[in-house]
Amino acid sequence: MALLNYSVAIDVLEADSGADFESERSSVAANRPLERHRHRGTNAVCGPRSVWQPYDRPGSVSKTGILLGFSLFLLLPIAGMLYFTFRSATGGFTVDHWLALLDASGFSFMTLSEGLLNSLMLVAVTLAIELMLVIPAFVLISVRFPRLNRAMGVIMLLPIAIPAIILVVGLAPALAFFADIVGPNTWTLALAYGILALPFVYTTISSDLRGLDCRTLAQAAESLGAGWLRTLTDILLPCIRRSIISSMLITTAIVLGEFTIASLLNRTTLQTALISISKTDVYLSVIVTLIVLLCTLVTLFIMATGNRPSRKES
Amino acid sequence: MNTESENTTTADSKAANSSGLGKSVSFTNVVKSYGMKEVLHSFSLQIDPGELICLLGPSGCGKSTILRCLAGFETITHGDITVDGESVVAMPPRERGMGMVFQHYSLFPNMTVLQNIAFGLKVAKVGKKERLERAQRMLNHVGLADFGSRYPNELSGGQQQRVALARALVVNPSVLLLDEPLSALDAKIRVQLRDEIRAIQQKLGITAIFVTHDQEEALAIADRVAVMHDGHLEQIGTPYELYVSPATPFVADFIGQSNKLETRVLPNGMVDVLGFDVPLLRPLDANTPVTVFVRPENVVLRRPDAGNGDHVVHSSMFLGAFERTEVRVGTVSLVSQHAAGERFSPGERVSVEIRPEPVAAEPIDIAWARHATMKADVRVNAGAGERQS
Amino acid sequence: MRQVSNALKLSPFVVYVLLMFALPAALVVVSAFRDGSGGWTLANFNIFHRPGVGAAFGNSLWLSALTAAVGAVLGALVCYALLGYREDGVVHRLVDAASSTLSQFGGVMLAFAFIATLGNQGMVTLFLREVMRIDIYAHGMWLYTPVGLVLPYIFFQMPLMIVTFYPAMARLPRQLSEAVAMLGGGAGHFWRHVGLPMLMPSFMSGFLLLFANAFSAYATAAALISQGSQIAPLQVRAALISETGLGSEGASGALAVGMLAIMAIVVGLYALVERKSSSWLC
Repeated sequence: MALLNYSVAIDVLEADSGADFESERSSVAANRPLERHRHRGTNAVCGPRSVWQPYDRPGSVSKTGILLGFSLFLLLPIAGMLYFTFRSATGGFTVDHWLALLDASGFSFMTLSEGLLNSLMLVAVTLAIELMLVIPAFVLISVRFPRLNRAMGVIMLLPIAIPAIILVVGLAPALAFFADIVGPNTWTLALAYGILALPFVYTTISSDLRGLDCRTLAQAAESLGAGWLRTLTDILLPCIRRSIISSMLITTAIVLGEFTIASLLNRTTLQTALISISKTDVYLSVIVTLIVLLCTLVTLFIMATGNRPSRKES
Repeated sequence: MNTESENTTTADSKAANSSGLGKSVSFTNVVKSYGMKEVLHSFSLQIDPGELICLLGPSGCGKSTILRCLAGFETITHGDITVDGESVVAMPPRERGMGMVFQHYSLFPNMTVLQNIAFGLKVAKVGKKERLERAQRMLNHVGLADFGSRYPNELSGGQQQRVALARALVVNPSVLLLDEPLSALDAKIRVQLRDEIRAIQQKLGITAIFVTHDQEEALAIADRVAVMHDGHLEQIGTPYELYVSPATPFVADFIGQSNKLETRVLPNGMVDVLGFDVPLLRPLDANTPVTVFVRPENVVLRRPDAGNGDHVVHSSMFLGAFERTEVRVGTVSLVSQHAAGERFSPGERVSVEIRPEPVAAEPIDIAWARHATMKADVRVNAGAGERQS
Repeated sequence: MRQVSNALKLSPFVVYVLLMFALPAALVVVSAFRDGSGGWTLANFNIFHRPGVGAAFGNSLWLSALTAAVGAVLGALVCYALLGYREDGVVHRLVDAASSTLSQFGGVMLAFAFIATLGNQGMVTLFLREVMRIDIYAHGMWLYTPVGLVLPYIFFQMPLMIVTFYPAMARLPRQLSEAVAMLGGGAGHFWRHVGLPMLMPSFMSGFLLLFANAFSAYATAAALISQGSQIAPLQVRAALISETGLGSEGASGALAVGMLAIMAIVVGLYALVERKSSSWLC
């Protein structure tokens, strides 16, 4: 009986606890790896060849492969747009389409600049709504109504699940009501955009709040006599600064890219302007798309860089 | 039962020399560096079969690194690690056949308790009926017989750690590695589980390495304790040896409590501590200025028969079976530990006596130079400790 | 008292959401059951018998399911690859920035990008036609049909999956793979018995989110699909335009209720899996 087997440990433990198991049970002998691999590793001095690669981390080949494929897929349409804008009607190379951008007199330019200005204003108003109305409410919920957290997770999915094309039908009367009060301004659209951005703002903010023990922080602040407003502005919001900034960036991207509601309510924004100029000058609309896309990308990247925690801090 | 075990017949007889399951483990001049930074400096340690060794030290001393090198999660830069004489350094962790209990339980949250314990058997292709039966029996042994169908997040920390222990043991590991298994638990559970781990380990006769930063824990359960500091082994010995004859000032300071007093070596080789001659654990040259480490229980307080004592009691702390009293002696304060019956109240004047028990001493100023020679002592002492155990 | 004051602090937000979201949604649903004179009716739902409506819903369903599945799998793969890079490294930040931008890069701009790339005169089309001698449009101009929406949709689905799924992946406790290794298991054991089961709820909620996202998407299709109303949101638009004005719609309301019914199922499933994932990964 020279075999070690898996039941040894249990048998030993049970030997004096009086358990009566049939001791000659056929048992799977342990092919313990130590015995199996005894021919290996007699080198007393071993170079630093790693014997452990965590199972949940990719190898260097697979990780570069996957990311390379991903970036190719992302870059292809962007390259396609670049190629398109430099291509003349006969198939040759030209910079005419880009030069046309400098011609500030055309109808296209007027439409576009109006749309762009409107969109930028909408970005500003939507950001204000998120910052002053939405984010404080999210923080309040996680500090004072933690039991609502799970429900919020589902409720905040609804603005994605209820298509904008449907929402716009009901929004029309609501916005008309606002227009009666404050006049027919484009900015009222931001009230709807604030709703569209909710799910994305919520996911970013709530994952940050979860990592922060905000209830204790808030109690600590209030035990020192701070009111809610002070607790919020001096303590809680600065703690989630990072996710606030990234949620602001996503909100910006959403507002700049929104088309459905603006077009069905006949407002002029960047997107509706792009569509209307594409009917006369498709090159211009592609060029503007490229510029907007690259600007957003670069801004996000710079923000992500400035936004990362310094190594000393952590 | 299950016949997945064709190659088991090759398992050789050496493995079964055992009454228990214990295997010997040996570290020889193990060096571990991350880039230019060396975190383990030529670490050597012999562990006998069936022994429970505690690796004890402050955080960052390299104790967990040693455990992870043995488990295979860190690759050593130089040296060798053997189990029963076989080098394991080239084996990936899964082939080393060890069991590990992690600080944060690391149970699989998607499996029930029973499935968690049976997982290792499943990997080894033990048949379903048998593996569930063994898992259940192991579960009984850690006192959670009725918890098999629960999920880990429904258990308390102590219960989870019992499950983790059962999971590590059921596959009959060659060595049991415990990486600060109790540090996330409440004090009371910690003591209870610590004693259970020790009992199970002794019953199985399995070799175990227990990493902790808690000296009380280490002294309570270990056969031998290896005290580590800055990637070095400071001293290895039984808990008693470490306490009564610490080989280095670090050990004297780290294990138990000490009064640190500055004095000078007398011509007779003793040191003068508050007017009492006290022998040194290790001889030093006469006249060397030293810091000595005097245990609180060797500081005896007396109420003088007549008149007042020389020193004033500063404070007193009741600690159950004993009492700790702090006395001002000149500019220093001295802690004495004594039976709780003798009470001294603050402001009372007492006289102080130092028992002539050997003390550790660290030369002042040239401490760094002496440190090197003391290191040499460690090795000698380590050898001695091993023979004794 | 305290609860009251807390609730008061929350009230502006609640009012905002009710007014701009709950109320409009309710108005739409109610409109589906109203006839022209303001009475209750089910007649509006007859629009589902109109030719093309059923097909449009069918198209929307398979398009959403397909792009959500492909986007979720590919997005999860990218998340896995990202685990191999330092969280504060350049690669990580680049992918983060690109995913947040592109997940919102739907609509008109996306349509332009794909026309420029895969259109009749697009870069890839010309390259394939002139260099590889492959005409991807030999069997018709599929880019402007629901089939043509697949690639553009994946283009925003995949980044959205990365944004939503990466946090779950990063929260997978590192020691689990070590625990598996100590029990003799390999990478296969880890993924099959621990990693994938643990990530499955988060993956499923990512998939459902992507499904909802694709199902609601309107702008890309509006800019790309030239003929007919071949997906559900386009049907809603068609119904809206054919009516007198935005306020008095019965048919579009009925279509909306049809879409909402499907979304209700999706949200219900989402709530179920979300519950599971939050109990495992925290």
